[in-house]
Amino acid sequence: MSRETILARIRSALPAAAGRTDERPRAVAQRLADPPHHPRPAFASLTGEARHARLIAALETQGTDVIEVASLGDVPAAVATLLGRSQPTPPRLVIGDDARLAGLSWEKTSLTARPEQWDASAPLEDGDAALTHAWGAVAETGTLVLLSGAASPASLTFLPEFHLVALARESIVSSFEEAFQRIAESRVDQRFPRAVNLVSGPSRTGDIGGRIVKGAHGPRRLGVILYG
Amino acid sequence: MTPSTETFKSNARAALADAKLAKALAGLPGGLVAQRTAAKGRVPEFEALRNTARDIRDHTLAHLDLYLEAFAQKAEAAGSRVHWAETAEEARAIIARLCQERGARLVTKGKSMVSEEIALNRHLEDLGITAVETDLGEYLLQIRGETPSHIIAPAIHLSQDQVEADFRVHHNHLAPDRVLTTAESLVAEARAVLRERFLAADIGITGANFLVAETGSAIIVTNEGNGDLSAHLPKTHIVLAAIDKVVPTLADAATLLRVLARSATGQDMTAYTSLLTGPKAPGDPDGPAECHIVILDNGRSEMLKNGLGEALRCIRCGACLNHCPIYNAIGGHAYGWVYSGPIGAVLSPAFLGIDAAQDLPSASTFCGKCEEVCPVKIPITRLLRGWREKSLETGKRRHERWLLGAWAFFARRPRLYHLATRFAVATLSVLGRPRGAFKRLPLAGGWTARRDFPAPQGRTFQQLWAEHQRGVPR
Amino acid sequence: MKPRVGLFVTCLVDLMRPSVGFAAARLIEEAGCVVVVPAGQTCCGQPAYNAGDPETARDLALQTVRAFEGCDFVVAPSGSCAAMLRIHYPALFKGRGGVESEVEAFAGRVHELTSFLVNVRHKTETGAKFSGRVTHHDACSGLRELGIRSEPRQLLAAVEGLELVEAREVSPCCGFGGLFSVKYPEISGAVADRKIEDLRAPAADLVTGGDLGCLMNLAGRLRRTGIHLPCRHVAEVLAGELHDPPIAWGEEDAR
Repeated sequence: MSRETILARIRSALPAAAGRTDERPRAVAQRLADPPHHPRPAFASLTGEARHARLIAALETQGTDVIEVASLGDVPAAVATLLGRSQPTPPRLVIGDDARLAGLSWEKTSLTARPEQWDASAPLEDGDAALTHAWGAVAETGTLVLLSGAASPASLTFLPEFHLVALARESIVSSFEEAFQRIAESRVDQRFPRAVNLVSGPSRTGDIGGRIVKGAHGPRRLGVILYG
Repeated sequence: MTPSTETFKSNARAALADAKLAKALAGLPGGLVAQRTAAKGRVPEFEALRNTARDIRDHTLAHLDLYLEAFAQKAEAAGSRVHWAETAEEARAIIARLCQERGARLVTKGKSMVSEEIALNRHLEDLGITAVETDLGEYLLQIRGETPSHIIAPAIHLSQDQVEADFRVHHNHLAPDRVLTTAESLVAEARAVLRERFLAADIGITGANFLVAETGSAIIVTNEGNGDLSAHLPKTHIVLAAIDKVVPTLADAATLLRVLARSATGQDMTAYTSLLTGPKAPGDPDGPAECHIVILDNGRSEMLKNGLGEALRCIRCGACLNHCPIYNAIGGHAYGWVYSGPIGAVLSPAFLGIDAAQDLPSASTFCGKCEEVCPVKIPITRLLRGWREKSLETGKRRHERWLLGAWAFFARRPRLYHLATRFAVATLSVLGRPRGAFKRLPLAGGWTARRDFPAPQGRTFQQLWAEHQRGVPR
Repeated sequence: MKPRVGLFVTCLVDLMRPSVGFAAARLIEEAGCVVVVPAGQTCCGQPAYNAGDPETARDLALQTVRAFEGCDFVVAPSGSCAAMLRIHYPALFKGRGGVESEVEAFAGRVHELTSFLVNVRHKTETGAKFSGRVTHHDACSGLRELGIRSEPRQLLAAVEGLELVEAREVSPCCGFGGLFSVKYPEISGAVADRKIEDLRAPAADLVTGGDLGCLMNLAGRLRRTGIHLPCRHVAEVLAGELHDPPIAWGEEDAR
């Protein structure tokens, strides 16, 4: 079988695998059970205001729109502001099946159309906007962390023209390591969701004449509403 | 793809004569190179990260069999099916079977150098399955019938007006009078055309930047989001990745991600980095029902055995290409196969055999810039020198071997050497000194093809120094 | 007692431009050393080593190591040859018993000329004079294998009347690469042209370099393309050894 052949070939190429020692399996088991703490850049260990400032600066450098509001209840107004800045205004706003977003009141906003619950059988049209709630964000690079599932379906991360993301201030972490560890801890059996999408800015390409153009296949615009 | 590594010299000459290519390549120093320099400048700890990244890769390769087993076990536990392929043929057969069993007619593809390596598209086309490349650069190449000329910017050799012309020919269902004069309009058109393909595809095939043993996940890094649309939308997702893509843990992946985009495009992170673990779970509204992972060897275990293990550290950032003076002069196609630039010159002889690719390792000045920028510190010049040894032993470099032998005969005999060089130098000097240089010189056609040969001053230093010691004035 | 310095002449200086050897010898003497030039040296073996013939390279390495027995230091007016002696000789003899330590001890005594003057002899100036703008070309081996960058600049900047100007830094290499230059003349020429653009940017009167290989390549290409920009080895300027015409210039041009 190919599996055995490949593994045997690799073993025969590794001098350390020649002896009948259990040193290598032990090293591997240990690394998997207790992942290493590699040196990180200082900017990946920030806390408090410095961490917050790094996140905002990084998001803005990528071309992500950021609005900071006091609480979750202020998200609809911020969404309306961001959509209002978009030319032309997206015809629809689709949201994921998220309890935090479901409870929001949209009456007082300037939006003419009410948000619609996403229907998996009807694909988003080019031009649509979507609002999902992020699991959190990594401050070191201004990276949003979105977990696939009913609350933030991966389709809403990649198909709309304009992706709006609600982000709770308390969910900001310093580094990728911290994000991965916390996601694992928060899951049953530490099992990861099908997709953990780390999003750092709108979709882009440099493939035509080396010029950066936004909106290659994914969202042309990305907006973050940071609350709390 | 059919390799043209054997005609490297004529490929390179043709590339040097290509003005459009020269114009495209002229953008590298101010583009990807300058962006990497800036990104590195924003990370004071960059050198330490490179060392850690190198150590992670070396540790993984030293335990590769075990991490692959651990990865496969975790991936299957997460609901993925893992397939093992020793050769390109086997990988093609596995993927073809998966497609045929599902009655697939349309496949969308994320960018994958390994799929270029195994020439997957042609195989699928032969079976009547349409495979559409969705990375914009790869899509441009596919409609032109070309191959990538760069690892991360596959269509770097193309100009905007070439793309417009191709779109007008290829997208002939669209209005002929549409305006396509900006990069934005071309991107928008490709987005619309490919969006339909994404939504209609039966199967999505992507590569992987990393396979994480700790979780059984594939990590896919893109800027466009095309890899994600290929992975999320079709009912079946197939990941094609080589054995060297495995990393132990997410903590290890975090370090590698910190150097990958910064070295590649000079971004701190690419727009999308996705950690994909298994197929859609109960309660998931979207995602593929099946996830298959094809793990390919295709000669890599041999590389590990033959002292080329360090080349398997490579994380395919393309920095060595961007910074290489040779790549900057001739571009990627001249190298004649999937992988180009310095790392291509190391890899191609391993995949194709040194006899078919013997010119590539020689096509380097050993300037060392590639090693200076490599995020995992691959000793590229040492590996190239190893190939030069092999090709001198076994290859067709008979003429060169003879010349080296003749030179070595003298160089090993100092007295004879000093005597012989005295006469040679004296003769050359008499002829060349008035003008200072030769336009043409017997036996030095290689040198004088592009430059004059400076005339020697007239006497050897050894000769003059001996006289100087005896008190003779110069 | 003055340290005894063996001058590793380098084959190119020996054959093409002995004035560089005399300049180097004078600089080393003025740094308080005694210079010896062993007649048992020919070439460092790098052409064989880089062509893929380590056996010949080892023969020439041992010949060189033994020719310099009894020297406190070995100094070469070339970053490329110095890197061969200092870094690649030990690599060639790794795991080869007694000779390994002999080669390592030798390698530890090897220095490139400007690095020797600045870092070992702590020279800050050489007392030379030169009137004009000079830009210094860093050869790849010296720069990336030995980390030499500030040393030649420090000494050049101290030359009376000399204005040191920096070249643009687009191309990492002049395209010489030893045998590469004759195996792939077209590519080599294209790479040289890029480096020449860099070197022309600051409108210097003279290009200096620490390696005759690069300088012959650049000067030969400048000459072929009709660009009037003289090139000299940095030792010539530092020692005021300027009576011979610049590289690839004739007696007629110099007048």
